[in-house]
Amino acid sequence: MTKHFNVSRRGFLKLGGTTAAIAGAVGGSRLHAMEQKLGGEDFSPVTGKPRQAVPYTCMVCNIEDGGIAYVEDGRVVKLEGNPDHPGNRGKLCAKGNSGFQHVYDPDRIMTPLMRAGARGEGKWKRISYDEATSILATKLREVIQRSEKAGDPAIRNEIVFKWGRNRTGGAVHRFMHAMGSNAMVNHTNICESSKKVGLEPSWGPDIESVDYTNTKYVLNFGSNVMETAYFHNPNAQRLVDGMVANKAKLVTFDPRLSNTAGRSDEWFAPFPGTDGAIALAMAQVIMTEKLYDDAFIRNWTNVTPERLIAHLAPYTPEFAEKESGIAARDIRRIAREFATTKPAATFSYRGPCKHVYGSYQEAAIHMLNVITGNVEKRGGYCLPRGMGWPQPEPKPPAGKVPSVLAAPPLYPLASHAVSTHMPYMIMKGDAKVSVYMHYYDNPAYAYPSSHVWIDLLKNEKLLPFVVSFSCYMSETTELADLIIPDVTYLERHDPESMPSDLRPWLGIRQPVIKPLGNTQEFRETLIQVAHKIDSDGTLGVKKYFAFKNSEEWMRAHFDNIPGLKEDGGYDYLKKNGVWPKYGKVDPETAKIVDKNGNEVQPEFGLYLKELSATDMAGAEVKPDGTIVKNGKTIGCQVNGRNHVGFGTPSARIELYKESYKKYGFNPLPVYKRLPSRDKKADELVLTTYKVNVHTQSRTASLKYLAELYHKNPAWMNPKTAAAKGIADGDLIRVTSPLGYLVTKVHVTEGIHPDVVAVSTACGHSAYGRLAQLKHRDKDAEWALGGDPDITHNVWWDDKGVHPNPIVRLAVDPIGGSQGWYDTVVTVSKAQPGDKYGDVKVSVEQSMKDYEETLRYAYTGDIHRANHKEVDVDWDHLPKPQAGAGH
Amino acid sequence: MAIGIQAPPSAGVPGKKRWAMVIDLRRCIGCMACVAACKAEYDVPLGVWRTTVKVKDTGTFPNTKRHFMPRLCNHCDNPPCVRNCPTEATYKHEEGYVLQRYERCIACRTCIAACPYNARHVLPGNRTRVKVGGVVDKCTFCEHRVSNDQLPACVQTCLGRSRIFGDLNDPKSEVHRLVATMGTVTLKPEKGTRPQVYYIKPDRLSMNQGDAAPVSAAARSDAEAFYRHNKGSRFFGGVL
Amino acid sequence: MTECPTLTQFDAGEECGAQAGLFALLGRCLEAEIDERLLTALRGELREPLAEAGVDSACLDGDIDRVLGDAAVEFAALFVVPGAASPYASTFQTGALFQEPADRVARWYADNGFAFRNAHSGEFPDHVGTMLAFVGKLYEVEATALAESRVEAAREVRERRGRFVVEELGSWAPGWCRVAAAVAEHPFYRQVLALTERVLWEELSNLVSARRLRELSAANARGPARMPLNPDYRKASGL
Repeated sequence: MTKHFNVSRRGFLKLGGTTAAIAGAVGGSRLHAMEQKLGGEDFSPVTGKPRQAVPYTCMVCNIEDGGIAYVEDGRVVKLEGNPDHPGNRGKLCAKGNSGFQHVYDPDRIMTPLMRAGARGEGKWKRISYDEATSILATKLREVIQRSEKAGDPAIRNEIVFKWGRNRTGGAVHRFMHAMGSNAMVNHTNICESSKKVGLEPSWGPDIESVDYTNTKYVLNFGSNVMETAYFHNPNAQRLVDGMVANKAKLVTFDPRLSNTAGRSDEWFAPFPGTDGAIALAMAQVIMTEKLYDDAFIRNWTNVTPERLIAHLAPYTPEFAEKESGIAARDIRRIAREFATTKPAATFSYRGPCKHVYGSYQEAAIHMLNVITGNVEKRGGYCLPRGMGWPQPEPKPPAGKVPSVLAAPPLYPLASHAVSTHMPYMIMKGDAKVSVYMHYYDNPAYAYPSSHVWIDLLKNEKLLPFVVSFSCYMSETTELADLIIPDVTYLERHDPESMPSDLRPWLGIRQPVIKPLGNTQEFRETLIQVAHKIDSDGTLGVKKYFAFKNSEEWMRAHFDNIPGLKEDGGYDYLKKNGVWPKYGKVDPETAKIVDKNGNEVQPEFGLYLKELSATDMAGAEVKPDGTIVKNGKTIGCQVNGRNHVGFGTPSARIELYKESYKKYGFNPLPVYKRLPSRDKKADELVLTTYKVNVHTQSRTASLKYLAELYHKNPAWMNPKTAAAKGIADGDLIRVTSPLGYLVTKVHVTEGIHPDVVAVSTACGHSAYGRLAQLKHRDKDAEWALGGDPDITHNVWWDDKGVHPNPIVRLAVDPIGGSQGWYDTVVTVSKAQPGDKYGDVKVSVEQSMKDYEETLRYAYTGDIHRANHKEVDVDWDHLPKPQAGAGH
Repeated sequence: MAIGIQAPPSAGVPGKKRWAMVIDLRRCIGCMACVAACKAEYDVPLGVWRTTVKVKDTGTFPNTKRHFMPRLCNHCDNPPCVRNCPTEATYKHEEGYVLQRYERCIACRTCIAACPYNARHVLPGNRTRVKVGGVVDKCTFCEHRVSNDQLPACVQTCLGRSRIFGDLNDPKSEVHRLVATMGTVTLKPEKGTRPQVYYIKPDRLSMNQGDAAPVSAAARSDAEAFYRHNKGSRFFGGVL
Repeated sequence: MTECPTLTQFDAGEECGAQAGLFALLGRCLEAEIDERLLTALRGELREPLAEAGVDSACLDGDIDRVLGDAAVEFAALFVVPGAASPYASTFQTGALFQEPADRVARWYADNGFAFRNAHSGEFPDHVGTMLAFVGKLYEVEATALAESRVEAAREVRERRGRFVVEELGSWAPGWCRVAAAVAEHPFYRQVLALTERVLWEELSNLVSARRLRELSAANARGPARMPLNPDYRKASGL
């Protein structure tokens, strides 16, 4: 017992007596006299009580699997897969199984916070949601009114919204357009934007859906389906079925032995950034050895076999061997296997596209499927199938002025934005920001040269008002001015659909429990802010948010979708979580079967669907076969039949991209040698990767996942390590032109000798302690609130070192993707005085990298030097303008 | 549910159930969903595992491969843990499970020493939800789920459908069919424990390759941290 | 340990009344930010008794807005912001918010005719301030019963109060006060937390045997002297 103060009991009582005497003067407690008997609820959890099952859609990562939450006594206690979901068929991955811990995490932000003190100092005041939404509404209204007064709609773009994940199904766009702003920036260029831009101009959608279950051959370029990628859970299930039940062969090209590579039938480790050369060489083999599907190329693409053969002539397997290090003999053999095994498909994700010129690499890989006629075949390379939902009327029109942040003028082909450039553009004054809002985003951790983002976020002149909707105090959120926390994914409403199966589905997120502690979901916050900005409706904002609550908004999405409407609309989705129900999952084969046990087959050959007479009424068939109606392409005529075709202007697969050529890029897939390929012999290429139990950054607080993976030593080949005198487990310095970090090495046979690989899953900032206690050096014994399990049983003491600070900014000028795998580094034993976790980087050098990468953009000098072969008027390329090409 | 102490082994005995698991190593992709699901199902504390997945790389660059081996209690038909338990805390159920009565356990760790599979662990004193600590625990084949006609949590969530569970004595069950036709193997058959977890071998791997001790510095440093935390106790069933 | 003062100055009823006031005050200080009304009382009539109890209100003197602002920042830092000393029984006993302890405590409130209604989001029934206020309410009930000479009812409430303090606060709340006081930077909160700890030990020593008191001391001292884990691993983001 302590004796902090030498006070007598009498002393307390005098205090108490005085307080009692001025009864009521101190104000009331949260305790109130009970107005009515609480209806006989049992408060103590009684085991054995049947749990309530509530369907939802997962969001621990972005695959959006269907789940069932088990609720006992009002608490989520277990998550399992939704057996009716055609995508994940009743299974959840490790992350999905652990997600419920987000809900009750004591480190969750449970109430809006307003900054007191300097940005990042960690001083906050608690305010109510009402106060917080009022503050935000005032700030936003100020910008709107200023824009109206000046008669300048461009001012609206000072309202900026940045997200990492936006699964609101239209809510953010509605809100921003209601503000009259176009300044919405996603995260996609640190994800797979160049893959999308490699695919979209070619065949319409931004991803492929491989029928793994029925394929006989998968050529995997740099994707890690068994751990990550889109769509990890559903695709991994089907890939395993294909390999084991259907005896498919899996060949992987990856500089690192991912789990997928480790389980492949053949693994090849090319030099980073040379996948395109290999793919082009395979295409060359297929074309010259006449293994291609002649009819498909002639009827369904905008090139001829002759043209392709001519174009591919320089890309021999020998050429590819020189570039990639993979034996020409193997390249030739795999190409022949791929072309002669039916059905076959390629799959690629971040590996090939996260490089400068990554769009070319993706286009080259995509082409392999096209020339072998595997498109839309059972067991082949198919279009993704998803479902959409209508947006409630009235819909706000887009802002009047394009935003240079959302559509940087130097990247007209980057239809998924170039979010990495935001801080540099703002720092250089290319765009003015008044209100910066962010959602599900952590660039201060997850972006290359992440220190630049920290600089930007701390700058009160460039970002006068920063709002975060996150419910976790991340490296980015701790730099906000106002936090209006969302709820976790298990407590909110969202519409959902993903092409995770060849049968499309619609799903929802719904609160499986009432939002904990009366927290408020983001959707409700948007409704309130919109109403407060425009309480009398004169600013034209409120009318787009005429929803009483989130549920009403959801009904507006779902209640009138044909088919779903007859099944019960939103109520059906609330009860079942997903629609339609195609059948039951057979436990022995995991196939979806009807009541007779026969598989419910998905459709194939979607592009061959024929247009009806009604469709054709009033349509014109152009000389090249394209069918146009009301100024829009609706299909194409092939061999006398009118087909729906692909989502391109000619309804064919446009392997030859006019849009690329317009800006001086090669309209056909080519291979461009990257600077990293010419690194010095003792240098290495730094690549980063993801692992199966973590995603982006938000899983680091889930204890089961942290236990499985909490440190990220740098992978290095034994020969390389030996040459540098480095032994397994040594402390090493990894140095890039930006600076260095000190981490440990993991010597492994599973990595290319010229590559060092570091996972991005760990290493939350060494310098940022938990927001409020960081400036208090005293060790609080129970600082984190005592989960006794965490307090006593955490047995690991290594939390890894994050690689992003030393990754250089360098983007693909076509698709905009950050070249994550292009940084050249030196690795050496740590120097005396180096400590594990040391990071030292320079913002100035990052600014230089920004200038350098602009030279690759279509107006730059390096672009011109690298594309001499393109027949275009170099002196009269289109002028950069915001919104061009989008 | 009959609590039969030292119930006789039921494999092959007509009329009796013999719950068993088949693990198809061709299908395991090391996603760790089973580990997370099991932890969530039973509030398994950090540092101990009812089921783990061992990871091993073999070969030299560029001919490197990765292998995964899920491990859990084998619910043996001749369990050395049951034989050796001085208080009959661990017992054999007539349907084949080997289960634990916490109230009788004195944490003497004889069973841990007796088990050749490292399947058992001592619960730490501190846990999040469940108020049982300090005694020995292990996988229960999710008996509380199976008796309600559900699959064990790890089987339910396995992405690759690598874990298959059922009644070995039922000729129509998938496990019966797989054990009969796929040339399955068990772990350490020479110990005479008659384990009831059957593995379908992948190509090009011998069983003890997947089960080896950690070799890389990264894995060893985790193991060392774990031993430090547990003051040198080597009795655990871990991923390490 | 100081001598138990003679109760001649306070008869039992008055004492209960005083205790009610004391717990109400402590509860109010911990449950929510200081507002103008409370500040006035703290600077006014409560100043002297607070000083005698070891809480110096001088740190609350000065410009009202500044004082309230500083106190609000401290309140958020101590009790609200992630990484703070979470004031919920659930967090301390299970490491998660709104678990079984919250249910138990809510049941206590219901059985005694009270309901919990949160004013801010993220507030739960097992907030230590609310629980202290509840103890104060039970003292009030006892005082009323004594004043009306319903001795049996008073005894019954006294017994209930004792059980609540021991079962729901005894094994963690004093220790929590100590830890929170150690990281508090604002002198008012530091002192109020220290006072609360003292008051709680005082209560407990009157309710349980010496041996049980030792056990409770040990329970309250649980937790590693030095956190072995690096808290940064828990820093999730972007959610």
